Amino acid sequence: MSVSGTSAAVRAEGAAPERRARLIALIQSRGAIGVLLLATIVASLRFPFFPTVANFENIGTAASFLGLVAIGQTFVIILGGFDLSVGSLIGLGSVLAAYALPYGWWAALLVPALAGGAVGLVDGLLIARAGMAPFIVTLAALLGVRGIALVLAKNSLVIATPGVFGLIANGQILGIDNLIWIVFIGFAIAAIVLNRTRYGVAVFAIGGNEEAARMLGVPVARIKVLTYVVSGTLAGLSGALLAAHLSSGISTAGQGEELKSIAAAVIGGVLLTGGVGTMAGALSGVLLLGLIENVIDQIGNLSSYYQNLASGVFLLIAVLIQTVLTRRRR
Amino acid sequence: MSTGLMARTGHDSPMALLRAQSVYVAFAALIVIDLIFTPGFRNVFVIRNLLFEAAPVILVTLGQSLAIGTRGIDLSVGSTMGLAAAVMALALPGGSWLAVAAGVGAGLVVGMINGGLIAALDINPLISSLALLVAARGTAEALLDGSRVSLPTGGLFDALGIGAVWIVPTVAIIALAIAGLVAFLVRTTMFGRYVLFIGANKAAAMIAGIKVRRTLLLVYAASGVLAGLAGVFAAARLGASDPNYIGVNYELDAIAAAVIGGTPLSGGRISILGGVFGVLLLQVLGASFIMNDINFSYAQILKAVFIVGALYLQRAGG
Amino acid sequence: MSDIILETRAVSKRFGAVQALSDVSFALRAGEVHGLAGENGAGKSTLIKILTGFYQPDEGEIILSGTAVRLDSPRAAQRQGISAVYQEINLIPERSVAENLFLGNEPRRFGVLIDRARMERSAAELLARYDLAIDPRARLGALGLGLQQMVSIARGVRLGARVAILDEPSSALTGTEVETLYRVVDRLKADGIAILFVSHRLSESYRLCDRLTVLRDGRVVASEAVADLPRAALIGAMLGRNAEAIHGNRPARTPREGVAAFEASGLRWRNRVRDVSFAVRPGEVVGLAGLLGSGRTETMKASFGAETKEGGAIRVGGSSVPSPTPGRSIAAGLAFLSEDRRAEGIFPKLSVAENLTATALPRIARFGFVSRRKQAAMVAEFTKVLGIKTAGPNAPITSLSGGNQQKVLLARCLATAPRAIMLDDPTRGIDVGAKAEVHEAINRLVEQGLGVLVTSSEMEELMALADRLIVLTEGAVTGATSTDGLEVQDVLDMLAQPHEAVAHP
Repeated sequence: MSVSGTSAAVRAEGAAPERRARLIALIQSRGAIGVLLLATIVASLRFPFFPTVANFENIGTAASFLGLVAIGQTFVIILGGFDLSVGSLIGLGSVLAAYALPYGWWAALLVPALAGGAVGLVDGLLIARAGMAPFIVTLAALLGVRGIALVLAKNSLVIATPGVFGLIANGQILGIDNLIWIVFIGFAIAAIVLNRTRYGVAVFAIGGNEEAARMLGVPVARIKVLTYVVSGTLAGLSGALLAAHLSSGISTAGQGEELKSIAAAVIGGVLLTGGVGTMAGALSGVLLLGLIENVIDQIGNLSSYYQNLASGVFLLIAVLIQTVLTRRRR
Repeated sequence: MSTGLMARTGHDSPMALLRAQSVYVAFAALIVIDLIFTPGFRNVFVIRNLLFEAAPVILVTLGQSLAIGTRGIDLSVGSTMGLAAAVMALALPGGSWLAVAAGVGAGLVVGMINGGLIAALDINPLISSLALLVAARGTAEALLDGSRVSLPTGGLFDALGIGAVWIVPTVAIIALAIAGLVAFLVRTTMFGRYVLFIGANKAAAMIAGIKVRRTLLLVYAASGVLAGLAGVFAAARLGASDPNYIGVNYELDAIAAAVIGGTPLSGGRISILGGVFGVLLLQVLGASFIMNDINFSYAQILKAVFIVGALYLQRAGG
Repeated sequence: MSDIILETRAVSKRFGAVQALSDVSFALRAGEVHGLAGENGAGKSTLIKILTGFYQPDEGEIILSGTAVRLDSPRAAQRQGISAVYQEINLIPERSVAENLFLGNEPRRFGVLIDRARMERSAAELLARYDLAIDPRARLGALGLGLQQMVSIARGVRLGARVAILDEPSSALTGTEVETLYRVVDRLKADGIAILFVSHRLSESYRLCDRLTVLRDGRVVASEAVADLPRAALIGAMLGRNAEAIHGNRPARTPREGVAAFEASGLRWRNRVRDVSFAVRPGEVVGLAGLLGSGRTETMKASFGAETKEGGAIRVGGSSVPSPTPGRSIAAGLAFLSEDRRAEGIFPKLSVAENLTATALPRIARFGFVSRRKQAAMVAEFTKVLGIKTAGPNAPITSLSGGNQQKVLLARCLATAPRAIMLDDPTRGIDVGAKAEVHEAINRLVEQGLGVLVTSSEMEELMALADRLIVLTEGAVTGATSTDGLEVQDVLDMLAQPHEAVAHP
């Protein structure tokens, strides 16, 4: 590559701010992993109950339901929207799984996933085709889907003989809980989809500059609809796994998970303004919230309700830091 | 000038006019239907109960209308209600008046934080208020350990929780009085104008030398205070402060009521009266389901559909 | 001719009452850099939007390589090989250069996974062809604006562009970036790509272009090879006499002595306003003469505090305004009318009365309450003084014609009883009658001792309004003259002088 004097000069001119911008971008995208490692070390030194294999498995299993939802939420936030319906979809998914189980374990997975996808499709169409605001549409879906779940099952439905279905959520492969496998493989696939497929690149493009993406030939509406479908499907699936894990379909399950999943993604460096984020960051956010929950649970003298406070405060701090960092970078 | 006149008629086309008045028409129609078909709807207790439920929603709708008028949004109002109720419960030893003041004060604090983030740091209101939705609810739960704290009976809390003048609850009178005050402020004060200017064209408002930041701070602070008072009312009605229950999903009702009432999400226009009727419409709708012995969950589903439908129609009206 | 790639034949376009383009015919040849010149509202952007598929012409046709085409969407235009680069980059700043170059048709492995290595290699090759030292993996937003534009050009070329439209590509570029742009343009030329170049910098147009087409009032007024179109002729064509314009005679007046109504010294903002100083006396109209992009708007905005100035001092009526904001400037007695009525002027959805009184609310309010009576009086007064034609004070502002909207905004400025007022192209896009009324109003106000700083896209208008001119070129004051006995041609000559003296910082 021939480098002429002038262009070299151009490059040198922009070098210093560029280096700072790179550093800031690194903090934004990888900061959560650092915080997670730090928190793990501190917790391990401070609490003897913490650094055991069993406890780590506990954290992983407990975080897996949020994790699946956070994958979809991350796609949606990078796209420039957010999906408030996922919490209710966990509840609906868990109830539908209980109803569908008599037809086979596969039906208990498929039906919730399809239902979640259908809700996502409606959300996506209203947002992408009718141009309605994502928060209004998905907030209404939050309300409506919870209503459907409650109509289907006022009380929790006990699953009589979970069988294979129960094994999916509670079994182990190579000594590691299936749920942990599922969520880690899920994140790995999501990371590949996000970074290595045209769909993923289009999601980034739309979130980064929707008008430009349209001009550059990205099928904006289609990608948007698809993304809400993915988010809904994963939420339904998460509900099904929860039902398998607890051997019951609970219509009130998943309340507040929509906010936690947003918090996890944002803490993990996914910008609420869209166009920026990584799956590894979102996973760190999920695990960080799981870690806090685990510690608060085990300290004993702290109310479990501090978990929500912690995720709220973390979210607020993350939003503040991200806003300031993003401004600095410009 | 003829072109001006023609343009004016074009602006207020019959469809647009109908849309602008639709909340009153829909409300009247629903009342008529209920009077005919719903058993017991004529009962004064029903109406009183309905107004009890409506009072806090009216309050948060007022704040929401101001925020939407600036082309913003306040998603934190429901959680702020919960936090206000929790703070009030903690302040009970200081007497009921102090407790109420503390609850409203908590609302003010949340509103100031929200307004500060929006005005000073230029954070999108959707994002800042969403973060506060999570944080305020979490704080409320943590303060009370997630448990319900009963309020003392008698005195101030009874006055707010069950007090009524014939069929009109005290809290409804207060809420309507505040609604009147807010409507008056929007109509007649510089502050009201500034709110509309910011919503109609923020860049032009800046150039016109309008104090955009201060106005935004005031708007969200007001929304916080109103949500605080709404939390106090809701807790008084319940007879307890329940951080998991009070104010949950109220932000959606408030947004829906404001928009159905003729305050478009695109800002620059506020209809307080319409918002009040929007609240009443949603409340009566919910009550109609319950009184016809339909599972409340169905009401919730239909409410969601109704909200999306109404917003879909309003969308074209801008 | 065979080497004509893109041609418009008798293209016309109307928006409501405004004839944006009439009968525009011009041709773009392979390997040619064709400059498009014209002032605000001349029709340049309408023409570009027609060529890039945003608008459809009402009449006439577009011929691409000898066949008539319909460009019914921006994507259709791109598919036909017309690629446009705007000053505001239409790419994704948060993504890498390579991704931006290949978005939508990334090379893939196994039919699914993007082959990043191959994509980055191809990107590097493409950038090297244009001699651009850009790392394909760099985040686009981390590059300077100039290099981002080059990436945008490279994307167009990669997609097989035959025509590249560069819309004000250099107005935000630094010196070295401009040099890079020149090199890339030369390379595009050598590749046989036709380039339509829109710029407000004359020296640049002369340096780069082979031909120049000048639009005024939606018509082609000149289309010549650069050698046949000297600077003075070009500027004359751009700003020259408007057949429709009616400009009354400027009344003889003597500005009042004493303290200046409004004064700026050493004003600086980015590289758009460079050490600008001027003073406007009471009862005087000073014209800020300069082409579009000369910094005339930026000078006003920095004076007013709509942009934060980076240096210099502002005094209004003798007292200093230390760090001006719009609010402080208005309080000090300065008013400003933006050239962009829609984006920075009117409050749509609100009434004439609400729009008119926006800045003057403290004058008609008591303890924060707006007095209906005083508001009505203020609206009635200005409606009468400025001859605002409206269905009534409560009519929505959007129901008024452009000229009457502008009068409402002028009234908004005057309602604060300022000592001085800055009018940025106050008659832009309004009809002739309203124009004359605005002029009349300005003259009356000046009689009463107001100091006025004004710009215009029409030299004739500026000459008719101003007592004195300050000539602004590329952000710096390059001359000052009284308009007494001055001919339009003299000013055009002043503007046409090459300004080597103006140093780029």
